[in-house]
Amino acid sequence: MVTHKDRAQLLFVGAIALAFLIVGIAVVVNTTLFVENTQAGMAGSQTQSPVAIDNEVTNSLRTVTLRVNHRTLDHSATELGAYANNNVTRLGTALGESYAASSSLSVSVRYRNDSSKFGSRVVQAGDSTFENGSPNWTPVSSGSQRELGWFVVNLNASESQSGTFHANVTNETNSVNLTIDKVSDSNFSVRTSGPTGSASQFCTPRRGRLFLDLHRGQSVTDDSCRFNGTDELDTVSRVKFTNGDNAVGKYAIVTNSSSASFPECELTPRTDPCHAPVVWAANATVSVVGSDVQYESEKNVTIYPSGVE
Amino acid sequence: MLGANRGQAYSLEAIAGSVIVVMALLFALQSIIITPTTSSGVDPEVREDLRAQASDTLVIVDSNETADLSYYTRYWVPEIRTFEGGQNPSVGYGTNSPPEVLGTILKRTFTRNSRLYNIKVLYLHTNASDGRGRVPMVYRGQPAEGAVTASHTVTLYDNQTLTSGKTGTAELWEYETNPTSEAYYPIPNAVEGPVYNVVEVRLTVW
Repeated sequence: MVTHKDRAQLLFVGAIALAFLIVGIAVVVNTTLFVENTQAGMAGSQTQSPVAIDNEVTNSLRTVTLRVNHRTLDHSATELGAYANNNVTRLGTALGESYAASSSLSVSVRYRNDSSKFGSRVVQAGDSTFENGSPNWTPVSSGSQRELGWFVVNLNASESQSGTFHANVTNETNSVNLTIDKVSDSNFSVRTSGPTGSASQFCTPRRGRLFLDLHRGQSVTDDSCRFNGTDELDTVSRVKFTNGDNAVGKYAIVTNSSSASFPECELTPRTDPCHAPVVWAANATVSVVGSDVQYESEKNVTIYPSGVE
Repeated sequence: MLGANRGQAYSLEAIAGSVIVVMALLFALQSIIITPTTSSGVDPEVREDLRAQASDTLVIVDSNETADLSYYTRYWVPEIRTFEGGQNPSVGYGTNSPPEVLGTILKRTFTRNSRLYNIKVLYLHTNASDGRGRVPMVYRGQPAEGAVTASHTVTLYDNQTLTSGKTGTAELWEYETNPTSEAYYPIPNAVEGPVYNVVEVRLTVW
C-alpha cells in the first residue's frame, strides 16, 4: 500500500525508469541505423555492369580476331578457324581471370568456328607495283554485291612514281573514286569523290611510307589527312585499279566473298596479289555468372563493322 | 513542521526526477545526432551517387576516340618508371591531375566537390597463380570510410605502342618488366597470341 510519504519516492523512481527507457530506445535506434550503414558499406566496391562487360568482351573478341586474320597469310580456312579458336580461348581465360579477381564474376568466352562466317582477303604483302599483268585491273571483280570491310594501301614513298594512281570502287548505283598523285617523296596528293561530296588533301608519309585507310578515309601516318572513304558505300560490286604501275607498295582488300581468281597466299610475302581467308563474323558464346547476374548470350561479332564504331 | 518537510522533499524529488529525465532525453538526442547517417560521406544514397559518378567517369573516358582508358594505361615513360607527367612511381600523378580528358572529368566531377580519388591499374602476371600486380596511376592517400570504387576492364594487344610522347614506336611486347631496364613497362605480356594483357582500371573515390 502506497502512503503519502512514499509518493515522492515513487515519482523519483518513475523518473529513473523513464530515463532508462529513453536511453534504451536511443541505443536500439542507433543500433538499427548502424547496421544499415554497415550493410551499405559492404557494397563499397562496384561490379561492372553486364552491358559494360558485354561491350568489352565484344570489342576484345573483334580486335583479337582481326589481328588473327591479318597475322597469317598461308592458313587455310580450317587452320585459321583453329588459330582463332586458340586465341579467343586465351582471351577468354585472361578476361575470366581479371573479372574473377576484380568482381567475383565468372566470365567465359567460347568461340564457335562452325557458326562463324568467312570472307576473303586479296593482299599484296611485299613491295611491288600495283599491277597484275596489266596496270589496269580489278582486284574485286564485277559480280554480285558484297560487303567491303577493309581497304588499305601502304605506299613506298620513294619508289612510287610521279603520276596518278586511281582506285574506283562501285556498287553500280554509286561509286567512290580515289586518285593518289605523288608530288614528292614527302608529299602526296589524295583526291576523292563519293556520294557525300569530294575532298582534296595533301598527305605526308612517315619513315618513307604513306599508309592510307581507303575504307575509312584517313591516313594512319598523317592525322590531318582525311578524305571520302569507301565506307560511304553499303556494298560494292567491283574494285578497279588504274595506272597501278605508278604506285609501289602493299595493299589489302577484305570482302565477305571468295576471291578464288587469285592464287593462295604463301608464308613468304608475294609481290603479286594472292588471296587468304579471313573470319568475317565470329560466332561466340559469352557467359557471365555472379551473385547478382547470370546470363549467357550467343554473339555474331562482325570483325569489319561498317561505319564508325 | 512535518508537513513542510514533506513538501520540500516532494519538490526536491520532483526536481531530481525532472533533471534525470531531461538528461536522458539530451543523451538520446545527442547520440542520434552522431550516428553515421548524418555524415554525407557514408550516407548510402550519397555513396550510390558517388559510385555512379565514378563508374560513368570510366565509361565516358573509355569511349573517348583518341584518349581512352587503354591510352592512359600506356601513357608511360620508362625512364621515370611512371606515367608521363607523374610525380614518382609510388604515387603516380599524386596531387597532379592526369592529362587531357581523364584529368578534366576527374577535376570537374570530384576535385571541385572536395572529393579525393585514387586510380590504380591492376594487371595479370605471366604466371596466373601469382595473382595480379598493380601500378598506381593516382595515389592521394588511404581511402576514408565510405569510399566507393568503380572498375573498367581494358584489353591490351602486343602490337600497341606506348602513348606518351617520350617513347618511340616500339610495340608493347618489346618492353621489359625489370625496373632497372631502360625499356621498363611494368605490365607484362601475360597472354600468348595477339593479346598482351587484360588490365583493370580501378577508381576509388571518397
